[in-house]
Amino acid sequence: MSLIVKYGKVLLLLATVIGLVVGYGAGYYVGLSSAHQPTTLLVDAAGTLQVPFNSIVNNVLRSEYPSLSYNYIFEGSRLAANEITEANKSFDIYASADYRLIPEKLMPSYASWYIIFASNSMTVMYTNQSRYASEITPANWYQVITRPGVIVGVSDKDTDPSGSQAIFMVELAGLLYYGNSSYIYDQLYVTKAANHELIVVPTETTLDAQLETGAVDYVLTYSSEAISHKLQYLNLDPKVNLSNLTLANWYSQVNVTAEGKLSKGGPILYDVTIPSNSPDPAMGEAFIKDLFSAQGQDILRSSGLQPLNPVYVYNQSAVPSDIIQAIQQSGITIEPAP
Amino acid sequence: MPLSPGFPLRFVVVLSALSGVLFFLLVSPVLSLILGSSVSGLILAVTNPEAISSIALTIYTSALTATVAVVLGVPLGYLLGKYQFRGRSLVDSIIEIPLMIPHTVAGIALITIFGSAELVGALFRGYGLRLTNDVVGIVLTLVFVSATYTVKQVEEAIKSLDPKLELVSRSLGASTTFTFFNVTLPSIWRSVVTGAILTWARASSEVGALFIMAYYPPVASILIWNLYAGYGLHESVSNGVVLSPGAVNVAALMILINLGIFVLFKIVQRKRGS
Repeated sequence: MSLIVKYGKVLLLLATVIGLVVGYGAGYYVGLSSAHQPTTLLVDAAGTLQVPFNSIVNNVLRSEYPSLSYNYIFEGSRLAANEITEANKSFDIYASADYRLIPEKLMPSYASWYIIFASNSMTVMYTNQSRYASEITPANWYQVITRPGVIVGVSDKDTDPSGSQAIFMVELAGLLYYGNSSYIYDQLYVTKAANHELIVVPTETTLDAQLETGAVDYVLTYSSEAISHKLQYLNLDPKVNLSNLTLANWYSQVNVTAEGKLSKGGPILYDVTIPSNSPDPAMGEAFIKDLFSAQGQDILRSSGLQPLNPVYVYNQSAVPSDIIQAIQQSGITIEPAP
Repeated sequence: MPLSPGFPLRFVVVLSALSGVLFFLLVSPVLSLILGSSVSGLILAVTNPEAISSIALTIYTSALTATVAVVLGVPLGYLLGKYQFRGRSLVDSIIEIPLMIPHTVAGIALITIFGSAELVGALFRGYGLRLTNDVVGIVLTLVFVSATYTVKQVEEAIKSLDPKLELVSRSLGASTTFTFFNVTLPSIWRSVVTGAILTWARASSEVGALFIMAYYPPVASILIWNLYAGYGLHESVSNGVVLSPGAVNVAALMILINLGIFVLFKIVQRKRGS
């Protein structure tokens, strides 16, 4: 019996050594890209910014900072704001798909300025497999998606602005086509919801996968999602798609309560800031400068967002001067934000 | 292969049918995932630094977690298995709680004490240390959700240990410490290893609690979610430039690597037993 005990000990030792070597090796590899690196960028932003922001980091920022360590959280803009305000996490960049979230949630404790840099529009996104895909057009979309048996996907207004914006879109369509803002809204959010034909998710970008797997037929989301994922979408009337800054008054006729606060319809505008507890504000500045470079603006455009010119800045005196310079050098004019 | 007379054929057939259903449910998704990823997709995942880095991080943190679980869990399991004391069954039940609560609840529970604005977290914050994120946050979270497996395995092994072994050792003059390391541990090493493997498996599959406590650097399970949410199931290519490997590809790669590790464990486990 003592022989077995001895034999077992040797193997135990061997296994421990192997384990330590594997563990150390893996740890060394990880150490190469860990957060102890001198240059780290931490981004917390709306889900729809994941594709363009990652592109800007990998194709523009990394060439300036080759040993960059980049970490991110992309999710519904309200959830993303909560990471800072509720979970006390710190980031170098916060960007939202609803420009009102920075003043509403982050100011004054976590931010003192913001720049509205891009716009988007609402659309109906679908695939060839969607029910009635061959029939749907920009003129009849609100009739097709409300048919029984059609499953519609939206995001949750309490975690993600696109959820509220889908409601605005539907209420505005009700006003435009039926003279009644609740008409189409009820068909979707009351009737369909009761029949389990309305799927609500916390982050808009997961709806793309739902569409790909056939779990939903139509998704009410941003056109940028459809464009960057090469899915089919409709060009809706500007009066319902929240794309046009000059229609702001028309959009404000409708409203919704999200996270307990009343929010009025408005154009879809993205803003960005460097939170005041940023661990590396210099990296935040470098990123924003790249955002406004010609390449950055191109990347935004090719992902389906509309880069703004002029951009709207809130509290310009608090914005780092490099950023203001970079914007002006790109030929973009600056106006004060509302 | 002729069946012996008296073999309960009908009974076994019914059991096999039911088993077949479960077997299919357990095996087909994983098989579908691995077969659904093309070779080019797997190569894309293997050559992607982010994917490799997060899989390596998963292995590293799971290994660390298993080590911590053994170093701290064996003592606890020993005490629980060996001694009867007031409140023992209470302690026993309490340490099972992490296994029963939803993973997001675990994450929220952890952050209410280790978050940088909270009790313990604030203490460390004063020294410039963060307990959320990075390897520290990951291992802290993983130990919480998976160490109990090791403790339980050790506890059961100690309970079924023949008390004479230790008594004989002590009566021959050996100290308690010597007895523990040279008599007790060798007798229960199999259970310690089983516990460590269960802890490792549980640790490398965690995601819910990590979303809240340690989102980055992302372990494989979180990276796969990021890819799924941001880019979809398959690789994302734009103008000939690969934007990202697909969630399916990285998931398939991770399963293959995990399978490899567990097969290795099983071989080592079996070899020692012979």
